[in-house]
Amino acid sequence: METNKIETLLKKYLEGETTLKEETLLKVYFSETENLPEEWKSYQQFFSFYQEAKNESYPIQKKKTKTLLQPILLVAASLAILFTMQLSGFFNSSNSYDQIEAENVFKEFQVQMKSVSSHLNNGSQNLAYLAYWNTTAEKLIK
Amino acid sequence: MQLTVDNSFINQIQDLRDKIYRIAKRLLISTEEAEDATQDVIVKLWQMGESKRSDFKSMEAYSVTMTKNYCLDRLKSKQAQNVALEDSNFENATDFLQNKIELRDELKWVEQLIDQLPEKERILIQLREIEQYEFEEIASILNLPEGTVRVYLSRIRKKLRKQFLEIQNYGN
Repeated sequence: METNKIETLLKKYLEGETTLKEETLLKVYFSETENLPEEWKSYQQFFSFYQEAKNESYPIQKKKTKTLLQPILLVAASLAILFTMQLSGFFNSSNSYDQIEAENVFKEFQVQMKSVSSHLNNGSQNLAYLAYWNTTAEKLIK
Repeated sequence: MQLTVDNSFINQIQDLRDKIYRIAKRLLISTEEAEDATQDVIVKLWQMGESKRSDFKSMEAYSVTMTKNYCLDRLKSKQAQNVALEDSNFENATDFLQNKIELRDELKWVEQLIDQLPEKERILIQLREIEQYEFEEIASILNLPEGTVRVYLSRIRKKLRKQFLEIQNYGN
C-alpha cells in the first residue's frame, strides 16, 4: 500500500511533477525506512545527500587566538637565553687580562708595520725615476 | 534608530548567508571562492539600501539571483582565461568510472555526480533539491518559463540516477 504510493511519487518525481510537499514526503520516507527494495536504494542516496547538503552553513572564521606561550614555557625560555648569554661571556666584564694582552700584541704589530712601511718608503723614492721613462720614450718615438 | 535598522539587516543576513554560501559553493565548487562570493554578495546587498531590503521575501529572491549571476560571471571569466579542453555538454561519465576508486563514501558520489554537471544544471539541483524553492520561484530566479524548469529538472534527475546506477554496477 505504502510502497505503491511511493512508487507513483517516484515516477512523478522523475518527471519533475512532484510538489515540494511530496518531495519532502519522499525524503522523510527514505530517511526512515530500512530494508528498501534494491532499485530504490539509489534514491535513498540522493535524498539523504540533499538533506545533508541543506544543513551546510557558512564557515565561521575561527578567530586565530594566538595561544600565548604558557607561563612555564616563558620562564624556561628566558632562563635558557640567560644561560647562553652567560656562556658566551656576555656578562664577563672581568676579562681584562685578555684585553691587555690583545692591546700589547696590537702595539707590537703596529711598531713592526711602521718599520716595514718606512723601508718601503725608502724604495719608493727611487721609483720616482720611472716617471722619466714615459717622457723619454715619447721623445724617442717622435 | 539607525542601530535597529542595522540589526535587522544583520539578522536577515544570518539566514541568507548560509543559503548564498551553499549556492555559491555548488557553482564555484571551491570553498574559498564560495566564501569570497558570499562576502561580495552581502556587501552588494548592504549597499542596495534599506528600501529594497525591507521586504525579506523579495530580498531573498533578489540575493539568490544576485549570487547566481555573480558566480556565473566568475565562471565565465575563468573559462575565458583557460582554453576549454572539452565541450561543456560533454558527459564525462567514463571519468567517473575511472575515479570511482577514489570515492569512498556513497554520499560523496552523489555530490561528485552533481558537481560534474554543467553549471546551469547544478544550480537547478541546488535550488530545487537542496534549497527547496517552488518552481515558480526558480523560474523567476533563472529567468526561464516554469514548464522549462520542470522539463530540465526531470531530465537532470533521470540523468543523475542513471549515472549513479552505472557507477554502482561498475563496482559489482
